[in-house]
Amino acid sequence: MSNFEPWKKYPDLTRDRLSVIATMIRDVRHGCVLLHDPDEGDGPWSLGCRAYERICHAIRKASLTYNWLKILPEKSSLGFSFAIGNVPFRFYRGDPEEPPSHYQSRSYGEIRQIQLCLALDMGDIQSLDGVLRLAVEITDLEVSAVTLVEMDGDGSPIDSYQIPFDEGDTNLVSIEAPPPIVTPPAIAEPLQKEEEEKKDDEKRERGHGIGSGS
Amino acid sequence: MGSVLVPSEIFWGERLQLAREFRELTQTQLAEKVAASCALISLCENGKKREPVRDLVEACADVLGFQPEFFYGPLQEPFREDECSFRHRRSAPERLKNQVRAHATLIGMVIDKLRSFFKLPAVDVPQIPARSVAEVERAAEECRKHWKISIDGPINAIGHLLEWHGVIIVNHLVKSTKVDAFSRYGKTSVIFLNRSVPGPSRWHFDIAHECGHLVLHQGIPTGTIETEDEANRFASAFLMPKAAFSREFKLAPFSWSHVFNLKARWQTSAASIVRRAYDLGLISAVDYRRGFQYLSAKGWNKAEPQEPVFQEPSWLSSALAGLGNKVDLTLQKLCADLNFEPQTFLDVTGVAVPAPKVKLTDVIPFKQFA
Repeated sequence: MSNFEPWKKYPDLTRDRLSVIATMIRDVRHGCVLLHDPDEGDGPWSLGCRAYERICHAIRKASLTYNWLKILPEKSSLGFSFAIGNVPFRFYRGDPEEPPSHYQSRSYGEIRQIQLCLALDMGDIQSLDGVLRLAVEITDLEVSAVTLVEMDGDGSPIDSYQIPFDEGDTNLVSIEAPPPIVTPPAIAEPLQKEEEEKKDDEKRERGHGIGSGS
Repeated sequence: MGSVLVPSEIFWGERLQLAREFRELTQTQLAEKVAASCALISLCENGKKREPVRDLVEACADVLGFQPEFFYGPLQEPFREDECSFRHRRSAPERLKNQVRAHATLIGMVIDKLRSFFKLPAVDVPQIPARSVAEVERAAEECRKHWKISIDGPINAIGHLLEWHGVIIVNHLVKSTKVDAFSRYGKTSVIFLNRSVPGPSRWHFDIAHECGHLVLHQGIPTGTIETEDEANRFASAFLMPKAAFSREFKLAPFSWSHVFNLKARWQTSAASIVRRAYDLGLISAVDYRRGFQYLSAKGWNKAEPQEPVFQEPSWLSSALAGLGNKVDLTLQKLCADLNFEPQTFLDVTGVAVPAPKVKLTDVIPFKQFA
């Protein structure tokens, strides 16, 4: 499990894209730690839940900014998966070498994404054999490392790559919400008679003449 | 009705049929009302009785609310069945559809007359035949491009947009909830909107659905499950383009507050938003079914909360309002030229014709009786 460069096997997983996600997870968790108040009854459970929800929200929001990031529909309301390019992902808190059992198989959203790629002949189908996870390691409440873990079909880790923080600021396309299309009402205007139209044309021509002379 | 009728044209049975269908009468019912046989009415309508007696024509005119002259001369632009599309419940009776089509033909006559006095934008609806889901999605995008509007922004006044491209939106006054909308493509292209079905977000979708028929189904018989599904898909794709809508839907987890935020922005019903999300694979089938169960339990399938403001169609109302001031033609003259009775004009357009002013010379001073 060394010298693994995910972008060689999965071209969508560039270093900067992975870094954007890893940095986001770290920063959101840091924000939650700042809000964490054990004196008022907060415990590891509330911190973990808040961090999970906020990280999901941040990734959803980021999918508006980054055109390579998309959210995959899940059946369960708490389930959350996303895709970088066409490659589906989930994240968990824990050791990269020991993914929790319920993260070892693919979720509904991940399977659907792979089926979509197969149906539309998108991406490198060979490279979608592996199951990918982001392992978020925590030390003293803060994120110490985010590692990309590749597992085989049985959920055993076969490769990993520790994602660097703060390197993701290139290859980004910002997408703004398009403004609404406002159409004024179509008001029925009277038809002009030919003579009136001629007069109007003459007036217009004269007007232009005056304008150009002055 | 007492004046002697000297028609310059020949009796036209199709006009009698049109007037009868507008009044939602069967041939038998009309025959009873004018003391004639059903067979005679049938012969008159199908052109086998070329010159019905004057009193029969006058009786029909009286019962149906037209001047006797209305029944003479060819019908210039009847709205034929193959040119029309209905968005209706499966239970909508044929008689109701005939009535709506007759109403539309009469409105077409009004518009045709107004066209001589007012500028009407030329009909400019792209023809894009499409059958598969992907083709329909592409057709909706092509339609936006054809009309030179952004391919991913919400459309705030779809009625105005269509009127600028020559399709007049008419509030139809048939009091039934079984026909939601109706459209016809031709020299006079119209979309009829049933305002008795609430509310604005649904009307937006109805207009987009009819727009779908105009774009996808010219020359194709509509009313089948397939064509209705295609028009629905077109309406969804036209009002909520795939890329932009997906991006915004995914901003937050599926919840009603999120759906209603999207409704405020995209001006379409919560039901159509949930359906679009399902069609695009943004929610699962289970969420979709649960969503519709909830909609139904709340009664939102009949009337939804947080409705957007409806941008009233404007061409026909502004033309009728401009009569007598912007142009020489008055409402009374228009009504007389069309050979409608004032009540019929009101029934067709929703606009009352003011009673003619009484000439002072017709008034006999009291003192003459002294």
